[in-house]
Amino acid sequence: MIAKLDKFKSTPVVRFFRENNSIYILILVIIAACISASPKFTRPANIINLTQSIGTYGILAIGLTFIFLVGGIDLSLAYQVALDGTLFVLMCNSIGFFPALLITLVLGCCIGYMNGTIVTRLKIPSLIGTLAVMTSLKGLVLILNNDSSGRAVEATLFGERLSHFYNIKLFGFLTPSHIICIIFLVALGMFLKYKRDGINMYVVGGNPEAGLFSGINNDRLTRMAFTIGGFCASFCSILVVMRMNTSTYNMGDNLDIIAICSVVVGGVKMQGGKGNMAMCIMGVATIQIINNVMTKLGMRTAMQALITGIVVILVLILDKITSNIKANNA
Amino acid sequence: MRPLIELQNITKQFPGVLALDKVSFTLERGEIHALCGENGAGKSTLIKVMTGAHEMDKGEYIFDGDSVHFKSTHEGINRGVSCVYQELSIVPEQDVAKNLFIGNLPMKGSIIDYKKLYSESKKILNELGMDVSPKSLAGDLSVGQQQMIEIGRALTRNARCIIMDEPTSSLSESETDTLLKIIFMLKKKDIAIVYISHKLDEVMHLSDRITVIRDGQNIVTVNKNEITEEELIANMIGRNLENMYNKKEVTPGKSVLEVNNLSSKDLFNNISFSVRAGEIVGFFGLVGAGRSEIMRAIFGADKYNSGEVIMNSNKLRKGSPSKSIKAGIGFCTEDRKKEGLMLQLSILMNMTIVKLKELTFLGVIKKSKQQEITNHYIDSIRIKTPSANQKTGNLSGGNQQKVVLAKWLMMNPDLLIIDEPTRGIDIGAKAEIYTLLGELAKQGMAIIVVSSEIEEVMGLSDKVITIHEGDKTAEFNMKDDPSREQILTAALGAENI
Amino acid sequence: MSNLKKQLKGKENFGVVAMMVVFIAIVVALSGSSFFTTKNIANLLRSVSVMGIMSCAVTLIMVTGNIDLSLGWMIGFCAVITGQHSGNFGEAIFWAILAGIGCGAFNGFLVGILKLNAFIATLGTMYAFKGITTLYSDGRFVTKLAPSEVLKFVGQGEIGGIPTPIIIFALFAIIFWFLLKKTEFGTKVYAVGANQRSAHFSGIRAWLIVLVVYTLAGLATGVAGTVLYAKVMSVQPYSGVGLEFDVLTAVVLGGTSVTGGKGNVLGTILGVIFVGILSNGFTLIGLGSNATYITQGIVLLIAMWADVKSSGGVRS
Repeated sequence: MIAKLDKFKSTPVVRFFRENNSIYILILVIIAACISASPKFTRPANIINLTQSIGTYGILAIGLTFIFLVGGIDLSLAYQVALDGTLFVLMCNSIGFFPALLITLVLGCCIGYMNGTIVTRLKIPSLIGTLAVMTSLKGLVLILNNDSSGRAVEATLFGERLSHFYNIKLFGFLTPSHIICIIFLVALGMFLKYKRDGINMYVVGGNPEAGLFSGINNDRLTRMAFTIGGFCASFCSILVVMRMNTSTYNMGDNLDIIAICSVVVGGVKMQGGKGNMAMCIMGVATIQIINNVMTKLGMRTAMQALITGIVVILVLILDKITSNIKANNA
Repeated sequence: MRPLIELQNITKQFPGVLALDKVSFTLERGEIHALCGENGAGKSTLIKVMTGAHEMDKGEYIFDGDSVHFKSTHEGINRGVSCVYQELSIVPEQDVAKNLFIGNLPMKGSIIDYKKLYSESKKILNELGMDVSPKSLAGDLSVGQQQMIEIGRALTRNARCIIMDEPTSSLSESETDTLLKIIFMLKKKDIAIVYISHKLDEVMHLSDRITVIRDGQNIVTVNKNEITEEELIANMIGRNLENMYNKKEVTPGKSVLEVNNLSSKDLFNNISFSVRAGEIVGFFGLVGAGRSEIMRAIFGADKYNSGEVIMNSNKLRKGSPSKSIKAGIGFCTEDRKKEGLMLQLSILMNMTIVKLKELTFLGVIKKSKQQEITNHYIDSIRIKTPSANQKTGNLSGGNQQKVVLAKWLMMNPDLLIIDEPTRGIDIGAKAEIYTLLGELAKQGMAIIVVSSEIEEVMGLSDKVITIHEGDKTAEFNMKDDPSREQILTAALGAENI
Repeated sequence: MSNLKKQLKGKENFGVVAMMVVFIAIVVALSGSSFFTTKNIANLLRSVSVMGIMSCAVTLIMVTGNIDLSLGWMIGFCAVITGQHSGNFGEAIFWAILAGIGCGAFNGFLVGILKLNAFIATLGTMYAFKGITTLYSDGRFVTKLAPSEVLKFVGQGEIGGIPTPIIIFALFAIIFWFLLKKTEFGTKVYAVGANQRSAHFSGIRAWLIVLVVYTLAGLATGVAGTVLYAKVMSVQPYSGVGLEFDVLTAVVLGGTSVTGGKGNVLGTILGVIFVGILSNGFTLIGLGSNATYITQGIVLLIAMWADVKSSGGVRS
């Protein structure tokens, strides 16, 4: 009987729902409600637009998922995006697109690695360490952007403006942000599932003591997670620059907060040890779909913010209730 | 052939304590070797030296004929020394297979070999006799099953020696049986086992040889059949216990606490008893029998399903520690560090936290009075500390326990519940605490002592209640002079009678 | 030598004080005597008064081991309300404080009673308060042409030569210092932060303490919102954005631990003043606010690092 129950519990579909709590049921309900609420929602143009923003926000959220997995938090992501974006624009204008791209990505990794080092070597809690980095990056970004005015991308790529490439479509629907996000999801998803370091990251966040006793280098994996976070932030910044064709000092504002809310809604545990790429992208999709439908319904942005906040709180409460029920059943 | 492990004259010094003083220990291949001793005797330090969690200061460690010096547990694991810790090191959100192979995942090139992972896990789970899918989440398993996973983890590492630190303390009886079977199976596979347990019947049943250590020194190593349980205890304690508890004659007064048919699902059923003023009631049973859970329910820290608690002829509301405290109950919890103290705060704050209301005027603390009463208690129960502002985290176990006691004594409770009063405390402090409890009873306080040390319960109490798997199995009046065996059998459950 | 080290270890805020002294010395060296003028000091304190009022209350939240990220929009909300009622001081302060208490109590309800993760719960309420504030103010800049005289006094007046916002800050500092150090409530705040289970076993209702602490922060934010509006008699609904991080910086600089159980209001005041000196000093030297941000981050890192070093590293 118990064996049967165990077997049932471990079938893929049941497992998926058990591991991801009841949040996905909520998400399905929300999506269904959205589709019925607004006929404009299902138009192809809107779907492409929506998935594009899911892709752009998704990349940042993927990086954040890794940081959450090892039990960290990164408050500096917004200004990492702003700094990466600003430098990318400056370099595009001086040394051309491809070198700029390369250097920006390397820079992203470096900032992430720096954050990881602050957390693991200086032993400063990540909340405070990245708060400090955030403040410093803010100053840098403001200086680079001449206080508040933005910088436009003057450089062109193959004779076209960069923004042209943001909307270029492969097979009529695949834009760069789709492709990049999918590559990230698949590659890093495989990393988490099939690489030793990937699985060990769950141990670092889930039970660091166990990691220590088993000879896992917790610090190295923490640094790696922060580095992946920084790398993702730099990719995200390039996509945002491509979309807007400019960089501004506040281009990253709210991005990090949306990313945090998204992955938490998706079921990634902020205290570490739980989460995967599916949860991450489901969370991002939920928040983006809700926002998209609210816009389509002509709701004011203020109302949208209010509703987003309520959704986040509701999901948290729901999660609390379901985990309490689980604990009582165990 | 040489023994698997030879420890010679191991010495380990901690600030202020000589934890191990020239201890020697040998472990033969494929033997089950029990390590006995009281709390704080140095058992855990010794096994930490063996696994590499602590480095020894002096001495020699010979493993399989080579002199070794492990600097981390990882080095120990690589040589084949694995430990199953008391605190579980399970990653709850991961499946059983990955938990089994933490730090040692089977690889195919640079990629994890899932096929092998699951088939190997299945094999190990079968060996352990566990009917669990390797894909189920480790967090969903029972505590006993999680413990088995830890043993399985040692198997995946091709351990040649497995150290088990109180493995049965949180297991049910049937789980314990399975575990013992597994230990015999491991022995057949030529794996040596170091077994640490307070349950002497288990030790006698299981082990080939027994080593007793006391106060950081090894007292004796013998074959099992050369020693009786009584001799074993005498060796562990090292002196006649009688004089430690200078029990004073007290005539019990009126009934203070009455518990009627208290039940909580899966934890305990139909517990009834009463405690009178000036009486010390001992609760004896194995760890996990439900003793602590009963006390927590009485105090209101946990809820219960049915029954009632009557304190000074008023029914207590369930689930409210603050109401219970007002009614006059003090509760020294089992786990000092997690539930009793605030380690980063001062002695002053820890001691006065319950009494605080009486030390205030309109919510403002009268500092001088607070200081005065704290100093009074520091002196009267002899807490060794430079000042009342010392952080409790810096004190020794005995002094920490005294701080917790003082916290409750300050409110002058009618009933003091004290769970494992002397766990992890050195002998000297133990005697002081026993004397203190005796004096308190003489002053008319009703006291409940929960303990898994039978000597303690017998030496202290006027009345002993035994608990077995959540049921009250017997009640002894110490005036009738019950024997150790009577109490032990009652605590071990009805089938042994 | 080891004796000296021991003594320094005892002084929790030594690192911050030392950095402050070094920084002041640099500022004085580069800008001459203008730093130590009464006018400059008053300016400095006036500029941090709003942040200071909130920091004192947030110290209590942090001591319980929690955090509040919604403060930035909460103060925006309170300031906008003050603006809408600025014709009548009594009305303005009443509604501002009521709004603050309401928002704070809601946070306290989520964290204390429902036991949600404080970081994410207050991130959620931040969004909610953002929505409410923007809806309420219509997203527009709020100003009134005929503000009440009392309100003007609160923001711009002086008592005995000391600007009123500084006096309000000082008042809050004293109240919260007293609350945390001298009262039964304060001790319970420490107890909850140091060990919630142990507090539970000592008969302390942790949920109530957390609820009260958040509500107090709401109250302080209400007052801070009024002062914020009164200082310039106009406010943008988003003018508090980012303030929560400045507050967090000041509190942490003051020696309060993010994991709870440790911290004090005096340290926080020190932290607030340090943040003020940084921006004031850079202005005097002639470097803009951007350099301030960069330095503020570095200072925070150094202070935390020193803190970790002196306490012998985080226990593993």
